[in-house]
Amino acid sequence: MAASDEQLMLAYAGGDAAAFEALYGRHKGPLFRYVVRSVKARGEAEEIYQEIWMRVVEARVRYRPEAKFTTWLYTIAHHRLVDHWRAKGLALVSLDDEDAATPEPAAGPDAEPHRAAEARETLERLAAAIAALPSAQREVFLLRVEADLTVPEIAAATGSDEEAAKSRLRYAMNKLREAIDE
Amino acid sequence: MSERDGDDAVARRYRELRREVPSAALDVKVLAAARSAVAPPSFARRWAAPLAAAAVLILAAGVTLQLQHPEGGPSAVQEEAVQSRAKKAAAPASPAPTPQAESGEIPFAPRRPAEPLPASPQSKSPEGKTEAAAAPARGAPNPLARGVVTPSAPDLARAQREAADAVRGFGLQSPAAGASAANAAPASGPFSIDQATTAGVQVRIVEPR
Repeated sequence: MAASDEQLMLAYAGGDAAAFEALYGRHKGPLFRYVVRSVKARGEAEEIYQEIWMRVVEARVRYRPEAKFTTWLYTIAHHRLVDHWRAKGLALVSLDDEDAATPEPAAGPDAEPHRAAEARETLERLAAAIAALPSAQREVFLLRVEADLTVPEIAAATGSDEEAAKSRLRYAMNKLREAIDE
Repeated sequence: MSERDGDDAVARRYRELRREVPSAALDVKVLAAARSAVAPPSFARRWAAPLAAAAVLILAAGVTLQLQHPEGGPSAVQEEAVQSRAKKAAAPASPAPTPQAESGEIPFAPRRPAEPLPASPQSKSPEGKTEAAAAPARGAPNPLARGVVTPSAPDLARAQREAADAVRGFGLQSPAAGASAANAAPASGPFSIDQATTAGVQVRIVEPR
């Protein structure tokens, strides 16, 4: 039976470098996509990604398995992204009020033939819609689909309350569903 | 399609997007940093701090010792000071200095007749060393007589004048006036002070404590 993330992190804090390699292999893809789709510029994303792992390494002795390792990891990542946005003069704000006026999209008809070309177009629209999301909604969406966090875990990682996290996720999903149903 | 089905469709479509992964170079950097963070310290790293602390302690102790006991040591310094003092005290034990030399060294030395004095028979120890403190020569500056000075001639003259003025002001007559008529000052008044009687007066100046 494979060791859990928490066991691997504790083993690494005890000096087991191989445990970190296993942990890194599990989370490097989702974390990298979370960062690169939040920041967009690949160079900056790689720098932030590396710093997040460095913070994990430095914080190994303070790690306590009271929460899921993934929640702890993405909390660190969230803080690093907030630092990045602050340095750029941006703020992680949600446009929930503005989005509240957006009507719920109606369910579209099923796809017709020519699926290959249409699927490619759909994916392009989805990527564009993700990039166009307000940063707070995009972050919640990425934490849901990349890190596989639940709403309470997303709230914990982003330091918000569950209602706000749930609301942001709903608005993000609605916009993306509308994009792929066009 | 329900909201949940819609969310699942979005998630499924999302996973069809290009799956970016970090570059191999980035993986190597992160893993190397993680490995070095938990690697046991090398011999140099392990002993660098204790060795540096020991070196600082030794250096500090050396500097402290050097400051407390400068070159030659305290005994040598004290011995040198004693010898220097003995030489100074022994110098007048030889033939008395000339008044010029004396006045050159000690401006307030007593002005006594410059008669050569024989050296004290005890001024030389059997070993030939000078025992200055035991028998200081007459007329030599006594190192223990600090603060005792004799007035110079101008000071004496001024004191005589002031005393005479004071006596004259009170209408008194000096009992020694008649006896010292021959040495009296020029007729400046009915009273004069014999210079011979005041020549031996010593003024004691007590140093404040």
